[in-house]
Amino acid sequence: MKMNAKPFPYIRAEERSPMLMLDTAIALIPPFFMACFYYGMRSLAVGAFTVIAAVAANWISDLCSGRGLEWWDASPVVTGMIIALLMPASVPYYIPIIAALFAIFVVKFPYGGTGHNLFNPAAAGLAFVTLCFGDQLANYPIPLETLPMTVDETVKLTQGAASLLKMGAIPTISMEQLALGNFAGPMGTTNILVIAACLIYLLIRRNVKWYVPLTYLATISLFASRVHHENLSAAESIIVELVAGSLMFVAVYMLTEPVTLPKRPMGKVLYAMTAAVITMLFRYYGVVLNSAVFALLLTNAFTPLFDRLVEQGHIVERSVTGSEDE
Amino acid sequence: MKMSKNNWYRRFLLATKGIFLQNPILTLGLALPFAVVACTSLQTAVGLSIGALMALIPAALLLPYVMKWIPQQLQWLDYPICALLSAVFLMPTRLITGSLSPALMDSVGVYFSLFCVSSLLFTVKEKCKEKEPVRALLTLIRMWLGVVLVLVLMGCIREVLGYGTIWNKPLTFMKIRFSGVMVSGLGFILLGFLAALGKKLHRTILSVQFWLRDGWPKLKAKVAGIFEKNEKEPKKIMDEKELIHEEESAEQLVEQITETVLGKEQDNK
Amino acid sequence: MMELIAVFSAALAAENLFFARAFDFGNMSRINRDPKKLLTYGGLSTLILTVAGFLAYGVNRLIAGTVLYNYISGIAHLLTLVLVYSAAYFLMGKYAANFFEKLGKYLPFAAFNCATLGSLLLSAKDVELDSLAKALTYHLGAGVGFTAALLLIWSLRQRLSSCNAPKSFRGLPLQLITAGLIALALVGLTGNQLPA
Repeated sequence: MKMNAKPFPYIRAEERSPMLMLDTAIALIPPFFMACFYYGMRSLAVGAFTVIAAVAANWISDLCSGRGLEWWDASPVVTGMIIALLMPASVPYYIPIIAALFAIFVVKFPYGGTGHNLFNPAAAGLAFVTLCFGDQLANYPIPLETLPMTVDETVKLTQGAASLLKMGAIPTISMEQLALGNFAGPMGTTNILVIAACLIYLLIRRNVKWYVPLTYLATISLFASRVHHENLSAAESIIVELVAGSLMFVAVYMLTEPVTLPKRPMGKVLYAMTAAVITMLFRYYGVVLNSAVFALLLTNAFTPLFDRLVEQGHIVERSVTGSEDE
Repeated sequence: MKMSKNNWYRRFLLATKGIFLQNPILTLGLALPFAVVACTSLQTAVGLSIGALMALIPAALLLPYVMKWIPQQLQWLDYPICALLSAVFLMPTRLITGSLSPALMDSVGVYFSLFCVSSLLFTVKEKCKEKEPVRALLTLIRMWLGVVLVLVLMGCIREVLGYGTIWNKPLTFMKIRFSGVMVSGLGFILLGFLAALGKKLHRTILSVQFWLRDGWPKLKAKVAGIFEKNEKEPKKIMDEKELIHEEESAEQLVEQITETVLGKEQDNK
Repeated sequence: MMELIAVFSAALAAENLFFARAFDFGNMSRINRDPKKLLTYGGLSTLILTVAGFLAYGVNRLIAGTVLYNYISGIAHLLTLVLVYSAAYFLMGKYAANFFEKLGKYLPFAAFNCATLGSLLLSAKDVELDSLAKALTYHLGAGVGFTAALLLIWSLRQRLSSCNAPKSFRGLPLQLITAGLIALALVGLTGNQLPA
């Protein structure tokens, strides 16, 4: 018999409040502006289709499981926007739609909807699509060239910085290009300064604890400064690692999602460190491009373990201090 | 046990106990490596089913006889002997299925040999331990049919989604190829959804059965009640006529009774 | 040395016996209440697998060139497992009676499951594992990875049983979907390759 109707663990706050996800959705709008600036209206079309697919899938799954329709729930909007921003702007329209449908129907619906999912739905949707249509996601359009709404062979596509790093080459990105995000990559992840500004917004709104992205980026910098290409200094290597691929984006938006994080601060720090270690291992030894996303998906599976460990640690600590008091 | 007309579903489930009620893969979770990883197309599914049958037959039928010959101290050897018997039977089967579906032997041939140590084998062995040969054979066939059902479904779905063909014949309406369906991760997810679908079907049929038992008579009564209300108004006129008719007939009856009673009294007098 | 570490970690993570190859999910339902039992089961499996790996390497060298290799290899490796199981049974019965009471139930399941025989057969087929040290490291890594996967699934069980899943998904379907998503995450290491 269930005495408590709420799910375990019971220390968490009510995460289904709409304002939490609404702030994240607001913080995802500036990358869309930058993507529109660089790649034209096609990026907005991709985003719109993905968000509509995610919201519709969420409504259908809510109706099917008999929970009743909650039309103010902003979490599928956030999922759709994240999936769209991690795609190249020249992606065919059906790919992000399939990713969004997979994310909602396979990762949210069986676990019980918003607030109960074990894995980050956007990460799982992107993993599925990278697995099935990987070669269509590997090449990115050049920014500031007009991208037609229907992409055919006339559009020039280049490799992103992450694949260059994986092959052992050094991406040639100058400092101004870096600051403005004027290099080829996924739609929303190249604009580092915009993402940093959104991080500050989320920190002010208290949606994100400051130590989570900090631990993640610090651990990655540690790895990058130790193991780097011969022609790069340690500092350059750190910058290149942080910029190439979707690392900053994942650190700000996906790592800090409150449903999949552990509950205690120590658990969160452990989680961020593990995610960073696995990201670097995937980057060095893995084959797939979006290593940060896959690493996040794997670390999500360790969240209950971290919860359990930190709770045991707290119990031991309480018993020790209790006996000292006596 | 009341096997009434409404219990047709329960009787059906008990008759097909290994197939739908306790499906080895979907409910007990037994032969999962084969369903998740090895079952990539319809041909491989058929090949695996044949292998499963040849591996399960010695466990169910031959093992009790073999164990009778072995002395009491060595009775703990039943697991290894069971596995060895199935492996011996699997050897010639490999030849047959190799000619039937060469794709199976190329890519996932390792899995074919694994039938002799899978948990499916040991569960069948436990179930068929104490039974007579005919019953053991029936149990075996039922469990095998359950496994075959799931393998064939999985093989079909994965082949259609991944290659767009069925038994190597291309289908024209499949434009998008999800080439990643062959990976074990998506196999797990597909199997999970199949298991949930099975549970949902079971719950739906159960709820239909309960509704037939409880809700349908109530609905019938309600509908009949609506019809009765409609018929009451014309009946009122008839009631009056009937009342008059009944009154008259009642008076006649009273007269008859008094006549007979008085007549009897007159006779008695 | 680096090669050995590479083989170990490949067997542990990229070709994890539980996630990438789906071996031995069925025994979970018997022993998944207690992490100590899971550790015992996994540890026994690893031990038996490593010891059988010694014998299997020699056996594989013997039968590798023959025509009927594909047909005999299954039985030959199974025979090595039977030998190791019988040896373990006798040794534990005679010298370690305490262990035998606790572990005796798990010994047949630990010795004869898909994971052990599958690992032996896969290492026999794999061309890169040509030295005894590499084969043994492979078996060790596979066993450790298998135990780690079992513990991971155990730690997720409580979380899975308390989420607000639709009634059709409770129990086995949700466990399968979780295992599938973790396997999907491990694709990041291997890419889109069929495990052979």
